[in-house]
Amino acid sequence: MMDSAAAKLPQREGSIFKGMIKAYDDKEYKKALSSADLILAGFPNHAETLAMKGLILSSQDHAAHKKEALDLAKEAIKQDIRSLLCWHVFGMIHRTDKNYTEAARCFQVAIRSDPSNLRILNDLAQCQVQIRDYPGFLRTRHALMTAQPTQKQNWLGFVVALHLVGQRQKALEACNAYLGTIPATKKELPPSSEPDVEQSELFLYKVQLQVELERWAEALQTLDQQEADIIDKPVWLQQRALVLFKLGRLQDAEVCYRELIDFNSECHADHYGLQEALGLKGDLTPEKADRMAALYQDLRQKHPASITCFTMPLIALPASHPSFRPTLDCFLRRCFVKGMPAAFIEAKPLYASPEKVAVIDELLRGYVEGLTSPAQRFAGDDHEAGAAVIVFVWLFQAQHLDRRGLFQEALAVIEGAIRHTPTMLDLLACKSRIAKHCGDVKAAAQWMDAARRMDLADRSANTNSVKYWLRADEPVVAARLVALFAKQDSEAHEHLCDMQCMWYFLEKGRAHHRMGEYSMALKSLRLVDKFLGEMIDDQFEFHNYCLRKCTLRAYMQMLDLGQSIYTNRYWMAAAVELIKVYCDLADRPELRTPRKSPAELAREAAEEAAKKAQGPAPAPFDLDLDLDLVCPARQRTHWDGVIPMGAVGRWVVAVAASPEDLSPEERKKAKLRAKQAEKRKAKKEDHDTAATAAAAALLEESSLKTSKTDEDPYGHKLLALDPLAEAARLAKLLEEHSPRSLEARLAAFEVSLRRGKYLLALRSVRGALAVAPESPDAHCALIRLFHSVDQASPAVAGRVAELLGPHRAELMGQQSLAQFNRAWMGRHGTSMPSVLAGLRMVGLVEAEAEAAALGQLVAPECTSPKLADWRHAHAYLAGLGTRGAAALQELVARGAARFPMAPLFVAARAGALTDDLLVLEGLPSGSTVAPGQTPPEEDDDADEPPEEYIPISARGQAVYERMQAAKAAAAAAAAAAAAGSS
Amino acid sequence: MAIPSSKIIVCRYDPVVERHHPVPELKVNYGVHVTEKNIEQLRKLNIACFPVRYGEQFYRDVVKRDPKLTILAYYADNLIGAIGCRVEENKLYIMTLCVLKPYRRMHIGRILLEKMLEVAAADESLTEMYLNVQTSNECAMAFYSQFGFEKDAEIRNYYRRLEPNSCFVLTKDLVAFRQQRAAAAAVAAPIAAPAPVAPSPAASD
Repeated sequence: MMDSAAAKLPQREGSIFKGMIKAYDDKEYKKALSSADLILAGFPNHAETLAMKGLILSSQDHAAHKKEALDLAKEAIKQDIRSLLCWHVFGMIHRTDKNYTEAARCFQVAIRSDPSNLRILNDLAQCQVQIRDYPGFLRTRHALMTAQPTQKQNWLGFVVALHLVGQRQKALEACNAYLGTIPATKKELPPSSEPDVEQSELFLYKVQLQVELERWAEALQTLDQQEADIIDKPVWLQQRALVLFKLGRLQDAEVCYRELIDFNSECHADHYGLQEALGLKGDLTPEKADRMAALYQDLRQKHPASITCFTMPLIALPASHPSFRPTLDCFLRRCFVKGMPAAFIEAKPLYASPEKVAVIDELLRGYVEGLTSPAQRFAGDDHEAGAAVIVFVWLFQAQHLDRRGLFQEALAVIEGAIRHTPTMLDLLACKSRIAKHCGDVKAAAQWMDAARRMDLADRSANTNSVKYWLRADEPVVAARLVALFAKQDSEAHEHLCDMQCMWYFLEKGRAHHRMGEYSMALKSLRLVDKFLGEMIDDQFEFHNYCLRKCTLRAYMQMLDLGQSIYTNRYWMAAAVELIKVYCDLADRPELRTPRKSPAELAREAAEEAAKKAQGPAPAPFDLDLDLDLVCPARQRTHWDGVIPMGAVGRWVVAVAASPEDLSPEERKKAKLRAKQAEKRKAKKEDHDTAATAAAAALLEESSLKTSKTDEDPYGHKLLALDPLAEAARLAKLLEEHSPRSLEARLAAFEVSLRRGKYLLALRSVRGALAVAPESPDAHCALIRLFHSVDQASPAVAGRVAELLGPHRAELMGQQSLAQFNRAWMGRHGTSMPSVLAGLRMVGLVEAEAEAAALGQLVAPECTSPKLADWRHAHAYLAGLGTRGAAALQELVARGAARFPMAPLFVAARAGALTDDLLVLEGLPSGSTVAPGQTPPEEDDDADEPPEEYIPISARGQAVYERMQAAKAAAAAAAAAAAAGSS
Repeated sequence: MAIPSSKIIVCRYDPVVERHHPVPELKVNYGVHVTEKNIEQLRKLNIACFPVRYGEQFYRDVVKRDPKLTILAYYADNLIGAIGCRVEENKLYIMTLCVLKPYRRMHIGRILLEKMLEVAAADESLTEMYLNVQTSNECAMAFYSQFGFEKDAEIRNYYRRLEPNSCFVLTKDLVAFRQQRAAAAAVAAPIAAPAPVAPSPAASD
């Protein structure tokens, strides 16, 4: 094609053209570009040169020359519409632009003039499989195979194409035909050569085809014949076990599965296979249960370290089985003696059965009793257990109680454990989780942060801490922390984008949404969507690579993943959240104007930069900053207000308690403190400036300014987009890929309703009702849909009502919306979320019945085990103002009884969970340190920054008093017990 | 002096826990070095064991110092005890030695001190090792006397916030200690030449 293009030019230009092509192939783009310009100077309409210029520009820097490159390529096609090169180039530019559909179309046109052009065929095939045009892919692959049957890739490509269109039989034949060509060449190799991985993979692929065709006998034959050639032995065994099982040769299958378990005793799939081969699947009859118990007793002897060999029978056997309790006992003891902090995670599946929970509870009580007795041993043991065993028991017990919703008991246990070994990270993390379940997100974040600081090299603790700070609406702190584990030489934000860190941007987006920062929420959440797009594009390189490397099994898996990628849970969550943001923006257009103009923000940024320039350079995130910045309990008071942290404010309030509240002694001490603080302040002014500058730098680094190269750091441009159009794209993807997801259906409904697409909305509602007929949200959606139809303009309503009428009759009979809703509320009177949904709809369709509905919501029988449901009810009632005041009061009273630790209901509890953080910090844990202790005098350490001496706040005092009272009570109880026993 | 004397607190020995049976052997790992990554654990340990808090600077100095001067005791991946020293010209001063209460009476403090004595003996420039003990803390004095520490002087009004507020200085002559060791080694050498216990990590899980 190059020759034909050059032939249209005079000889001199022809050779320049050839030189240009060579320079392009050698990636010498500058040289190629000057050659192109040279030819175009004489022949401005030479199509191929125009096209090549576009291609060269696009290869040089696609982002910068995208439009110019496409224009040049289009111009070239105008000049010579039949030129193969021009169409090929046009396709290549589209391909660089990741527009694979257009690229495939261009290659199709190009291929018409030269149906056996291998290069274009290859390019076309790659694009077709990327856009999942499997029939087209098969045609192209067939053409490639016939054009060049000696190439391995072409054979395999053809086989894969047949497989993808579902012609497995033909794929198998083609695969056999190709494999038939191998041995002849292989025999020449010396026997000692490297094992042939490619061949091994091909045989396994062949087995996979046979298995998919359910030709068990043939598959077994392949496996047996090629045993020596297949290198991946575990997969070979797995396939063999499966095939034998399907052939009904259960004993042989059992042998295979046992061999697999010997190889890796923790693979659940192999255990299930073994159980199935032994006929132990499904409900266990008493006889089967005995066999199951015996089987695992045997396996445990063989694999004493295997956890799965314990958990499998524990999950499968009923709690009443005689072997259940001893097995559980043995398992738990082993976990505790070994010191396994993750033991609870292994035991979690047992919590599905209340009887099993009862056994666990009983065993735990026994352990605690035995280990806290003077003998310090497990019942029945003749030796003392290790000193740390009791901590692991307590850790498990705390999680056990937490799981059962007994938060206060769980807290008591975990606090005892923390007193025993205050240096154990897992205990603090556990306490954080309990706080989270209590509904106190701030306390949870602070405790998780305390855990994180115990080991700054622990990535998991850091990650958890970041997540918890985001849940506590502190994206600034979270951004600072997440940077600790980002690459040092790049900006943390960019690094997280490169790593496609979906959970972080999802949680960050949610936090911004909760905080009402819509533009930032959009910016974060759209990143998650962008990452998914990147993942889809990333497949492109693998289409040829996998064929070359013969990893066909993995390739098929990747193609499957590409199909189901929109069911990824992070993407789904982000899409649902994005739709919520877009709906908010659509409902309240005033949100779409940023609170501050860009000019204003720029000025602020400049001021901050100036402030930063004045002070010394911010220190790297070293020990100093790290210990200081992120622990509210240790906050320096002169930093108050600089660091946006919930707890700081609380602390300040405590310190600034009015002098009247204090005893005379306290007052004296406070005065002394103030004097010393002043002295210190004067002395350490420089230190303060540095601290302020560091804090300013911290603010600047925060989420608001993530990247210097970012053109739209505040996301304001995103607010200008049409929210419903953006939401509709996501809703379509959600519904298409997850039709069985209630959340996806409801999100799609919200979008369709706002866009006035009543038929689409109806489809979503019907979908939601099909998944969860009793879902309160689906009920709301149904009523809102027909309510909007009723309210719509007569022109619309007439036509739509006609179409929707039969559905309405089918879904709610002849009832009015109010009647239907009343019936719903009557049916679901005991479920708080359902009654709340009904109440919301009462507000919409039958406002006069609100009082009765309110009464129903706070009635004693209306309840929910989920704190979130209570929170929603609380928010709705609070939103009603005076109309809901009485009901709100009632709800709070009931909530306080049900969730005694939740700050939402028990205002006095806010911060109660962080009290012990002070104790953990040494205040006032030791009996020798009295509250209100004077800080050390300054002249002791003239060269050092002031010692971190936190004045005991009013709360600190309360904590101390409580502890003293508890101690006294314990002593009295002990004395009474002693008196009783003697 | 980097740390003001008023802040130096010596471990209060708790009353002996009664035990009716042999103490189980703990698999303690002494090989972890103190770094800025795990310094918070040492802080939590000291808070739990000592009645007064050390300042930020104390921990910054610990991290900066020669890692040999701080020995940590880890059990089941948790810090349960530590000894921390600093060099003052030709003397080695023991700043802190503590073990979490539930893990006491298991020879962890003894091993920590023995390991530190090894460190001290290896550095020829050191002539003396010393520490301060609250005058009421007989338990600690008994403990240190086992290792050849001798009561030197009493300092009145040493502690600002503790009662009694005076302390003893306990010292050990390192030159004599080295001579004793050499003599003992010479006697033992012809028989079996038992190498002294290496201060390297003995056990790890």
